[in-house]
Amino acid sequence: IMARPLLLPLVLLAALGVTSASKSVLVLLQNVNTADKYSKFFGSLRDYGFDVSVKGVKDSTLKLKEYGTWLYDDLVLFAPQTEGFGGKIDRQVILDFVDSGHNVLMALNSDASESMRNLAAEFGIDVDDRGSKVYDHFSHATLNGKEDHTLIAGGNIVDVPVMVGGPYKEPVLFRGIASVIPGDAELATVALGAPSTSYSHAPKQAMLEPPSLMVGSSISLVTAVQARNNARVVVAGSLEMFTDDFFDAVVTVNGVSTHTANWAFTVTLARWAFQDRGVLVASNMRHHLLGSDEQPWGYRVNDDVEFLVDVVEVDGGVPKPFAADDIQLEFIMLNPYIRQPLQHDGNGTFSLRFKVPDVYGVFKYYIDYAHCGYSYIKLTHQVPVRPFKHNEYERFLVCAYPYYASAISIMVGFFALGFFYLYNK
Amino acid sequence: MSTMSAVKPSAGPEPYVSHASLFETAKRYLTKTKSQELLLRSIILIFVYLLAFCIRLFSVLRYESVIHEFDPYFNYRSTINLVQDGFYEFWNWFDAESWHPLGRVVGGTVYPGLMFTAAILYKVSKFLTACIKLRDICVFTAPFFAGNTALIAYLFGKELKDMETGLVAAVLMAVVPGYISRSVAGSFDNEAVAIFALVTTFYLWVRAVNQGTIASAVLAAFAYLYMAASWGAYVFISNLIPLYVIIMFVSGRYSRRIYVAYTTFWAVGSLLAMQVRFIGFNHVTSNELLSFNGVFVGLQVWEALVFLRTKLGTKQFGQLLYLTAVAAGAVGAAGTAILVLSGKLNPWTGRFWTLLDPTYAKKFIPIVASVSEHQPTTWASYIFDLHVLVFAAPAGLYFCFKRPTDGTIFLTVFALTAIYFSGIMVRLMLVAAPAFVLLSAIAISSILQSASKELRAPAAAETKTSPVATRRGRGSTSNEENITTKKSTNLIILGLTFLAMWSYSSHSIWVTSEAYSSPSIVLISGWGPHRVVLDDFREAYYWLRHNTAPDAKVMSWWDYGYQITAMGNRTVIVDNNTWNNTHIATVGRAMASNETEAYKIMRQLDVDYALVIFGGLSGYSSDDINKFLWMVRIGGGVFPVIKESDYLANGDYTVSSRGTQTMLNSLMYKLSYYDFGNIMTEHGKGTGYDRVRNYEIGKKDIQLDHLYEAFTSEHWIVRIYRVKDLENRF
Repeated sequence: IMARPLLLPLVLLAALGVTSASKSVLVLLQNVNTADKYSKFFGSLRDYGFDVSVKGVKDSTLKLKEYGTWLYDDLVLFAPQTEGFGGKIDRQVILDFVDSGHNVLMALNSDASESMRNLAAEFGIDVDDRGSKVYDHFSHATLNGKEDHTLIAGGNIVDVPVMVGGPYKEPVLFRGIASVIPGDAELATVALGAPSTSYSHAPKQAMLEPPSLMVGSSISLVTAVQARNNARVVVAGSLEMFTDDFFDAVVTVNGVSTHTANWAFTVTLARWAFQDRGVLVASNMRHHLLGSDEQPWGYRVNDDVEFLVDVVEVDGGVPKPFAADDIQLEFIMLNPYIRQPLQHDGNGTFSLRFKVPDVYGVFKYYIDYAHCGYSYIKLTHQVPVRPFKHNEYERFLVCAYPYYASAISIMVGFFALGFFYLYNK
Repeated sequence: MSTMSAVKPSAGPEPYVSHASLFETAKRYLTKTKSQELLLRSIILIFVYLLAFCIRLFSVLRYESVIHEFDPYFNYRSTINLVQDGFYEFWNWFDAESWHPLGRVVGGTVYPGLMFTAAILYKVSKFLTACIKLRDICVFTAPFFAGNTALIAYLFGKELKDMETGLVAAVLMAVVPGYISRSVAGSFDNEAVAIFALVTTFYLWVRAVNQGTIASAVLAAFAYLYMAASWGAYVFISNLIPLYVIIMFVSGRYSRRIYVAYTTFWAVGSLLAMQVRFIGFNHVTSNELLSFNGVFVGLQVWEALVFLRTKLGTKQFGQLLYLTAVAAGAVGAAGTAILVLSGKLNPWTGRFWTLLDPTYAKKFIPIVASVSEHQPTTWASYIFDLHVLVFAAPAGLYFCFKRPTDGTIFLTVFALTAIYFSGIMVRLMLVAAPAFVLLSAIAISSILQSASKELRAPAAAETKTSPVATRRGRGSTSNEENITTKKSTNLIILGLTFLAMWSYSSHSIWVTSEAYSSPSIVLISGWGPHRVVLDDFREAYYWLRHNTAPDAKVMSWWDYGYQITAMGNRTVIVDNNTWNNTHIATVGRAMASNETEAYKIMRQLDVDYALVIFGGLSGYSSDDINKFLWMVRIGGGVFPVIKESDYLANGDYTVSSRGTQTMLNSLMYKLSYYDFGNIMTEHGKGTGYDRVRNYEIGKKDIQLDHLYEAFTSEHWIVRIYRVKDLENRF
């Protein structure tokens, strides 16, 4: 019990340490010579302080981990067609990488290999069959005078500025493969959804009747996943959307000529994926009885208490106070007895004053904050609530005066009667 | 001896007069019959005391100085708390480490007599600068109190009949197996001191009835306080004494002495017992004590009527009596109706029915029926626990009826009720043992007295009459023959009694050493060179203590709760206190569900580790698979989704491949048999052969999704699994 208040700040310090350090990114390309195609994307990442190293996916010296230490913080997989990795990387290493809190950005295309498809499936994303493309006969773009029904320009950008930036006036260009996330997926967010008029189809295969499930807005073009340990994974169905060509393109959509939002969209999303945006750090959780500063071992029923926690949002390595009205605090013993939003003071301190319920037991404070785009805050802290001690009850009760009176009158009466009986002969 | 000492001082000139005079004093003192008798009696009692203490040390010699079984571990833990934190902290103790997350108000749900006793013994020994570990104090509390009980049995026997009876009672009490079963060294349970308190209360009560003084009744009330503070069976006393008063009243033996004794006992005893937090106002409002309070009121009414009769005329008194009777009847009926309708008075509780109908619990209260010591008693266990007393006690009853006194009538009432209750529950054999001992003591001492008197009397007569006989010549031969046959009959009686006592004592010693000295946390199987010590329980509990987070929660069946908190120092979900049936049913449901369902329940209860006891490898038969049907029944009693029939293959409980899918996929089955399919246990059998059930298990490739194996003890008796967190990426 003593160790816990100490431990938490330590853990958080460690977390802060990771976010503020220069972050190293390993980029794996199908062909290391094609790095120039993404020069603007990588350049922007470098501008944001990322240490980007670009390597070929079959490079025999590849490794993510050395002597139990992870060499990189983030991994970019721009090698959709590859079936395997060079060096000491394989699927399990990448999964361990994520499970130990690191981030992956992967881009696919219509020819995405089986191993990439399986990797995406490990994050809960179902990618459509090999060779299929997303078509849209209504909201597609014309690039360089060439009309292309697979060049989607009407995608729905999710309204989470912390994740994707925006709002954008220009469209995000997309050409690639469709994926879907299961309806009950808790961790995945569709960062870029397909227009409702789109569908996924492999041109070399006969169209299914009725068409496959990947139709309209159920298609996810770019999917963002935040694992329970706050590691982030972004799976984009199009590799081309990261290229300089798409960044600089001027396209015609429904007769209107426009620039694209790809640059801002992809870089913001990548920063989000690499924990450069939307990171919440909760620290210094504390609670005390009103009128006392000490953190007690437990409470008594009906105590008035205050719970406080500091939450900062780390953006680009800079912590700043977080402000939200929807962080809920629960006070649980089997069931939540209290469930109320925390009040914040504008300086990142969230607090709630409440009366401990009139029930004893081992309660726990519980915060499970999962706001889309932000890292999860999950805090539990156990507080026993004990009943009154024998000397904490009221000593003389007004409602008991008749009983006191009866007891005293009996005693007096007995004494008087005894005296009378014994000495009045 | 006296002649020797008489010669010695006069043998030579003695320069030290004082020396001689001291010796003389001692000699003079020892030649008196009365003081010889006192000396002999003291020596006997000291030996009885030592015998009672020492016979209970088998467990320490065979094993070690450890606390036994289940409940004693809670008592031990509470005693530590009491000694460390003091009286008030203990009184207000809210235990957050058991019944997670409900917690338990220990101070208000415990009979603290035992802990106070041990703590006081510890403080006294510390004050006397004796350096005794608290654990050893706790281990030896029961034998110490067994010695005290034997002394009280002496006093009780003396009060009931005479000193000889007392001595026989003390000896019988010292070694009666029914009592030894709950009072060997290490058995630090409520019963260890409660039997002492019970016998003391009864003794002081009989003394109070015999003396009829307020002081003696107050003394009895204090003994009753000790009993009420120690064991829930105090209600036995507070029902037996009113019953006795009623019987005395009906049989016309009611006297002012009984009135004084009962009234004082009621007033002081009630007030004192109410000071125990667990009892409190229950002592006034509980149905179980209805007769205790009712008889008090009845006695007051009776005495008031008697008083009025002396003051009023017969006619007036008759009218008054009529009026009072009608009024009392009306008020009583109305009061009862109101109480029953408002739900305050509900006499037909489970506990009530359990005592009247031995099969009630088995049918309706699985949690009561699941405990082995709540099973009905078999005849064999009467012989096992009481041996020759079973046959001697009826003779004692005969002697009681032959010359009834207030005391022997009380003993009769006590014995008859105790015999009835001991027939319902094995555990209550403990209460019957003192009754059997006292009845048998009366029988045996009566037989011995009459036999030895007759043996001695003719001899005395012979020496007196011998000169006459020689003078008269032939006349007394037939008389002499008669005397010799009588003599031999008496000798045979004495011999038989001796044989009976001898076989009783050897039986007691054998039972104690073989059956009642196992601490049950250390198991020994085999004999001689094939001896195997199974110390898996402590191994596993110490593993928990040293390898898990201090606030880790462990889910196990309630039997092991006390041990895990005491030895493992970890929080448990349910324990042997069984105060919340729903919570136990939730754990039973988790054990009986499939892994996915169980995982939901375990997450809701914050469970970090699941612990099961498994005997399939070692042959330890009281393991969780054998208790599993109780978990199903208790779980099903609250959550109807759990159905007992789902776990039975055509009415047959089996772990083999004939078992139902529900059974083979239940969490308990998986946790017990995880990895067991790869093990060869017995020659000539396939892998995964369960040595307790004698079956090859039905499912050998058990996969766990939400738990993983964290620890398995040396003989696989204790298996501990860690509950995984939610999947990181789904």
